[in-house]
Amino acid sequence: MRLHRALAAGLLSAGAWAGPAAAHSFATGADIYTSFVEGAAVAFESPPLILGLVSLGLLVGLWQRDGMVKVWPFFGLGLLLGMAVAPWVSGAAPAGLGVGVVCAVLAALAPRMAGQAFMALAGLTGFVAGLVALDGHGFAELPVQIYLGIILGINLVVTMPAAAAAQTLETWPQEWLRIGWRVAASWSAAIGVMLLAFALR
Amino acid sequence: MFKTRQFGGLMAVIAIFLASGVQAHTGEGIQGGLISGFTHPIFGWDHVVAMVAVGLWGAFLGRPAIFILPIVFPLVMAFGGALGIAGVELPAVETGIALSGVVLGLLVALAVRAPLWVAAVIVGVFAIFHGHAHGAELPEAANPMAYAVGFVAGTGLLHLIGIGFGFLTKVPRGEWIIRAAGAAIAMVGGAFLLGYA
Repeated sequence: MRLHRALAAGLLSAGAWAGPAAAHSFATGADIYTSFVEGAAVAFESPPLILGLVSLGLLVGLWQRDGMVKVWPFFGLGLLLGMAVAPWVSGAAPAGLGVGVVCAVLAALAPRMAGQAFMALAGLTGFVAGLVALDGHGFAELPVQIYLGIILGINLVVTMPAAAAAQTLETWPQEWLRIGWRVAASWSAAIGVMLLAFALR
Repeated sequence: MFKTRQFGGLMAVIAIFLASGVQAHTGEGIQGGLISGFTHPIFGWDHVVAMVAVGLWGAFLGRPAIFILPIVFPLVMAFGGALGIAGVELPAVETGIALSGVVLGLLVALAVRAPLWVAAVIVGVFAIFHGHAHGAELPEAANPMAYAVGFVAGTGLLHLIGIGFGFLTKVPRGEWIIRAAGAAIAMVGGAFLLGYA
């Protein structure tokens, strides 16, 4: 129950989020709060990040009621690792879309697959999200509040769909609702495949 | 004479409003991309009849096909769309699209209750042709994300319409209405196939 409250609070704070910021060209001279918001906004503005994270969220939400709690350590570790490796990797957006498509296809067709595969996929998604969010920025090049903002933003984007799916399925356990979420995942996969084609052409 | 001038002025004003409305279809920016993607499957009758037929056939087959087919179709269609965007040539795309109307319409008209995997394969194969056409005809100026979202939402809406009509099978004589709709869809597909539409 506490988890649900925390997730609901996360949803509300995301809804009340302030205006947009320039995603990947950070204004490093800004004050602490502005830099933090700027970092957090990256996950809300980059289509490869949104697609990948929302797809993972749907998959986890459809998997188990407390699925997000189970995959969070792996996702978090992957994210930190990805952010650490990011200075040496650029142009990871297609990889972000690719991981998102895999998550969305699994959510649409087999959302109750084996748990261990979920952990690995969550770790991989976190890793790629870290790469895409920083997109080649040098190590410790940015103020620490931007890194913190990025971590918060990415966790919000993956948590919101997971919470929405898990909470609605718990409240209304009808089969049609589960199918509705799976249709949403298939749409997410379809959009991801097309964006991948745009990115690679 | 005065009335003629007034009428002419009115027509000129209407023409100006019409002209500004038409520019929305150039597909520029996020809004243009969204509208362009959304209307692309809806404004082509060959696409409309096939999408609605998928929903109708799913409703005919019952659970779980009624849900599985609308999940499979967007996934495979997006793969076809990706081929079109990437410029990969696919033979006889327009023929495949027209044929999808004929085949899916006949499957509904004849109330064919195929196994789920067979239905998924049939729907999937035709989805590639539809997706390829959408991907290949994408306006250059369209915002990719907006176009993809609009395109998938438009297709899903048509499936929902088909599924909605498909629930007529639950009422007396409803099945015959659906089968008649299937026959009509097959005829529309046939008209496209033979070049009458």
